[in-house]
Amino acid sequence: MRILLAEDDNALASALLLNLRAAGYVVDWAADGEEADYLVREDLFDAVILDLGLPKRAGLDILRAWRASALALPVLILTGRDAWHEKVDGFAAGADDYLTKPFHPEELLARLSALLRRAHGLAPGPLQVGDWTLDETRQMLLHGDKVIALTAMEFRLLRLFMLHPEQVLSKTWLENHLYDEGCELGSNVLEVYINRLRAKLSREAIQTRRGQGYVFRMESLP
Amino acid sequence: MSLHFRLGLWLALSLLLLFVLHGLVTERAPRVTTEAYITTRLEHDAEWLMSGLNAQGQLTTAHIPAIFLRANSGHYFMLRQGEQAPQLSTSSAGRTLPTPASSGISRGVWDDGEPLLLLRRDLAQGGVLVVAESLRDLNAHLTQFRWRFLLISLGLFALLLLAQFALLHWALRPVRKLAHNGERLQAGELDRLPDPGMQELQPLSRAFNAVLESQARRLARSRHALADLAHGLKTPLAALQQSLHGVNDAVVQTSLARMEGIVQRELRRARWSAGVSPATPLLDIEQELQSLMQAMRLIYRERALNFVLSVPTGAQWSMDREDLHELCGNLLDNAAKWARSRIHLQVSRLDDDWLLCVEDDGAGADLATLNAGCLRGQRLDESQPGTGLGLAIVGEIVAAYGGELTFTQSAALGGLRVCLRFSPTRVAGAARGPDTAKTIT
Repeated sequence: MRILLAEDDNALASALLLNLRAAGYVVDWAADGEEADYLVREDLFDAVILDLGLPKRAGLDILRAWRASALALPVLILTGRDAWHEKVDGFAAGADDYLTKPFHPEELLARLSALLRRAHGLAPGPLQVGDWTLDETRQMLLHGDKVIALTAMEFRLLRLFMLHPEQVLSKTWLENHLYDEGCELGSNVLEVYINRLRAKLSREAIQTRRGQGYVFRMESLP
Repeated sequence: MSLHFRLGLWLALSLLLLFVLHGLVTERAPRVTTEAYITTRLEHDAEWLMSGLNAQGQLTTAHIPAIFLRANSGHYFMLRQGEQAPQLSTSSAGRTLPTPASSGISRGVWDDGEPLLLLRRDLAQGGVLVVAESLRDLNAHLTQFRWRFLLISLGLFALLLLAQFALLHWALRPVRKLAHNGERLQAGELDRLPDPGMQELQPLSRAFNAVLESQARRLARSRHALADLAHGLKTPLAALQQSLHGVNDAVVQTSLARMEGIVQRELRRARWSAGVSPATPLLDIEQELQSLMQAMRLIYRERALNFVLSVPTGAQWSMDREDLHELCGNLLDNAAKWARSRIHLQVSRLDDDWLLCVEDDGAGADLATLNAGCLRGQRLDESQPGTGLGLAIVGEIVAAYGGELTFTQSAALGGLRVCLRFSPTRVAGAARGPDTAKTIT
């Protein structure tokens, strides 16, 4: 899951980056409106956390511009403006959720998770595909009575698969949503993680489609 | 007392005074003139008669003018010498003229009531000559003239009064228009006073507009400053909260929560003390509430709450947009917290007032406590941070707009029903500040 954080306050942004990354998200940071607009139009992100009082271009402006150019990615507004008319204006501009500062980190993570779930057409609550349940707070996989521990990268990758079950996900797409800009990686790294996941779930859980990518199967075999 | 009435009264009184004075002078003038003329004639007659006295002091008939010979001609004379019977004009028909006490002109009345003007002359050889003329015809004429004069004067007076009224009405039109525009300004139909088109009133409307503008500017400035302050304070606070994520120190966490509460409360209160501008434009209620409801649906999307809005098409009243959203947003948010699945927002007319009701299908609340004291007189600074802040804000806004807030059980949904009733005219009058609180039980 790759998130764009558009926030001009350094202190808040670095604290948020830590918390979001700890929660298993890949996060890019834009410190002003123009940069945020540019990055979103690269079409790499699953969601945007948008501050309204951004330098260069106001948050509401770029949000309206995205919606006008049919960019449908979920946007969570994160702002100090807590008056109701400002919330109304935020939603009218096309926001999917609105959180006012100061806020509890858990609240942001819960809302972000719900937002992503909704964007993928999934019901709220724990992420569940077939017999598999992903516990996002503890970053663990549940299967019946079994609790399977996951590493941070395994968790990220599995969440991507479980949010797109029965869909072909290309290697490039997966890489874009697993790593942020600054990350250089070898060509086999993704293959290594997928094999580790297969070892923890089952070989059939993730199928390889040659020349296309990978598919997460809902029907898992015992 | 209206300006029109006062001006009209004084103008009418002065007009009346003018007419009375004028009437008194005009009424006397013909009598004075005519009597002077008669006096002159009487003197001529007396001279003539005296010149005709013979050696015995008798008047020869040949010398007496014809007018004295005709019966009841209205012209008489009497010549009295010593103890002899007086010589009378033929016109007297044997009646003796009254003799004035002194020589010269005087008035008198004959036995049958005929008014006379008499001239007495004392003769050099002894004896008295009295020449008289009847005033009966003159008096009759004068009476007729007086009536006619009175009628014409009254007619003219009435006509002038009417003209004066019309003139005043016309001349005071700009003042009435100014007052009317002032009312429209209060009702929010205008945002500034238009040029009254009258030199004397222009400085007034100019000064008024200047005050309005400076107030609007001040309001906008303070609101902007506060929004900036909010942003400035909240971001570092949020950063602090993020970096302390996972620190399980109770002191740190409660302190953070308290700081958050204080910042929120103080900002809201500061926003409120900025006050409500007297010239608030009319607001398209339907459109505003629809966007608010849409925002509500998105905020509570996870709980799939059913927000229903019912508002008459074209509903509009004079209210600050931010106040409307703050008011309804807090009421709906409160309802959403308690509701199981449904929240209704209904706007309707009650006589000339507007009724805005929010109801939910939650468990309801302690109505007695809510009605008795929750909002009455309670200020934001008395409320505890985090608890009931939303409802306290509602109370402040309602008070500022001179509304009435009631809490009942919802007949339709079973939960709490909060109703706000306010009249658009009183809104304009009361929207001066939060001190004009008015709530009912």
